Amino acid sequence: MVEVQRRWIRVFAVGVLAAFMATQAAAQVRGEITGPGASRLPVAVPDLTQGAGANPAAAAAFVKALRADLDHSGLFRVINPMAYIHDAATSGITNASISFDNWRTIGALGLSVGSIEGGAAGLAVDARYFDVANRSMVGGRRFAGTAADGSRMGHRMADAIIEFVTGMPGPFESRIAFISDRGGRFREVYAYTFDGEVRQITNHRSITMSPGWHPTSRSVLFTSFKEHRPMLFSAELGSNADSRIASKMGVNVGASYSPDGRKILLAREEAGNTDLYELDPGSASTRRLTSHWGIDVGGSWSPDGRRIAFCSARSGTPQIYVMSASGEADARRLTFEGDYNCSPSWSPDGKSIAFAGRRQGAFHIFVVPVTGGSARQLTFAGSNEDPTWSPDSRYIAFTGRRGAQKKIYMTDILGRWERQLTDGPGNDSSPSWSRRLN
Amino acid sequence: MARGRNGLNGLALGVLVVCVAISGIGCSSKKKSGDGVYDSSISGQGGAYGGDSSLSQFEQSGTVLGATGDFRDVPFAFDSDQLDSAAMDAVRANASVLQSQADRRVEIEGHCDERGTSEYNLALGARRARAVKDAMSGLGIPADRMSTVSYGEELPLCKDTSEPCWATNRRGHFTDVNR
Repeated sequence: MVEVQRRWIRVFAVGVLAAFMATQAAAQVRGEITGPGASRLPVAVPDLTQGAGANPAAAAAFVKALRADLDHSGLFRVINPMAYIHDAATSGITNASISFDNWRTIGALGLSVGSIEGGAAGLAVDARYFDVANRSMVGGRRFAGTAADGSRMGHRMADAIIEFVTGMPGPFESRIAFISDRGGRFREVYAYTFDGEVRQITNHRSITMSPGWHPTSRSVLFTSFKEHRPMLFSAELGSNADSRIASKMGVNVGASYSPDGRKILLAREEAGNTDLYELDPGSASTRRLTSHWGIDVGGSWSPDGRRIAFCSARSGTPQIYVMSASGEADARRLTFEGDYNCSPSWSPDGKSIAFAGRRQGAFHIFVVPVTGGSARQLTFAGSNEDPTWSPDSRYIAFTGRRGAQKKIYMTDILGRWERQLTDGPGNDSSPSWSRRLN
Repeated sequence: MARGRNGLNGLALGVLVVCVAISGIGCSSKKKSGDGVYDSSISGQGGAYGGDSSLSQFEQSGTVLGATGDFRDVPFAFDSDQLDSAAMDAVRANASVLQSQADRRVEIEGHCDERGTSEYNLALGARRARAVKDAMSGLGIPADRMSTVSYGEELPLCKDTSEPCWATNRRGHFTDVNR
């Protein structure tokens, strides 16, 4: 496989480290735990020790979120809590008070413990991650919040443990916006969290499309047919209100925020032609970016805001192009295989562009380096569209159809595994992954 | 193809829809000079359109109508906005209806089948609607009697994954615009 050769140096280094770890039971692996032959790090996540004023429901929510995220990351294997030789009531969370031998016995190399008690705001959690072989604490976090924050704290700790072990935080304290008709015939905007919960954001009683997060994750841009023609709206989370983004841009065919949240990149249709524009929502000033007669849609900014990937039919069929953020004069074609490549999404680490490509009639998710080269196919079943990157650039969420209905799925960027995220009635599509919420 | 609930074409329904955009009041839509396409800076109630627009039907009842009444759907080939001879037959038929009823105004909807991304299909539907309108203009129908809108792949007539179904979804669909 091509990616083996590309990652050879890094895999070699990780392999050496992993071998050292296995024979010497040495400290944690640094760098990426990816590449063939790498196995998941076995970890134990016992229940939190409950102190004065602890909220048992919050404690349970914390470990449930933490265990699920570590497993779902593909980086860890959470040992079944039924196997733990551990008494949450009496075990401690410090080096001196942890029985590391008990954890070694069941094969854990990592250990996440913590305590919870009633704090000033409602609850306080002190969570720590240990290297079992070294008998040393790798890192910890203290959280304070209300009793309802247990699960969110668990997601934040999962992201922190992923950071302790790999150097880059995980993505699980984030949200995925998407479109669904689960409530009936109307297609509304919803938000998914890694608790598996889904919250309805809009109530347009029409058709909405193309949600895109503001970088603060506090509001969502989307297209709605509520006013008969597709127009651009913004919805604030936490309020029931949304409002149309006033501009002269008129008919909207999808939009997204710049990385600094100050500008909107949108596709605008006029007199049958669709082109890309940049809108400053504050001043309502606009700048035209493309003016080719062919369809130009689906703009995605690079994380440094200097370039834009987009889908254009200027060469006859829809393909992915990259241009500077100031316009199409230097537009460079990125995809050369297949007759339909669209829906580009630029990774937060700036290195890759994911897109949906049609092969033998079915759509699949691909990733191509920004510098060019062959695209790697990530999905092989059903039909898949609308890729969106996790904030840590390790995962891609997308619309997957494996049967009659569309659902939101998640895959790692090597395409080794995929997981269905949403379930329930109706069709879910068009995901947009927010940044981490902290 | 499904018919409306009450068996009539949508005109009766359309009359009930309160929207006075054509006169320029209330719906804030402006006409571009010499073009007749409703200005893209539509705000307010969303411009003039009839109760039989595919979107209105969908919002009210969840169903989408095929060609009903006097107008035929204009077919398109996959990924294309070109009008072949079958398409031009439909265009000519629709044009002669409008020629014989000088006060009738229509909205031309562009639709796509489900293949392809939804944003690209929204743009493709707009090209289809525009292509139909231009062909109608070429047959002498004044541009200010026709508006266009795209629904991309969002309002299909049928939902099977088969070529006959896809073919019926790729259409330029005419609806009456109320006065």
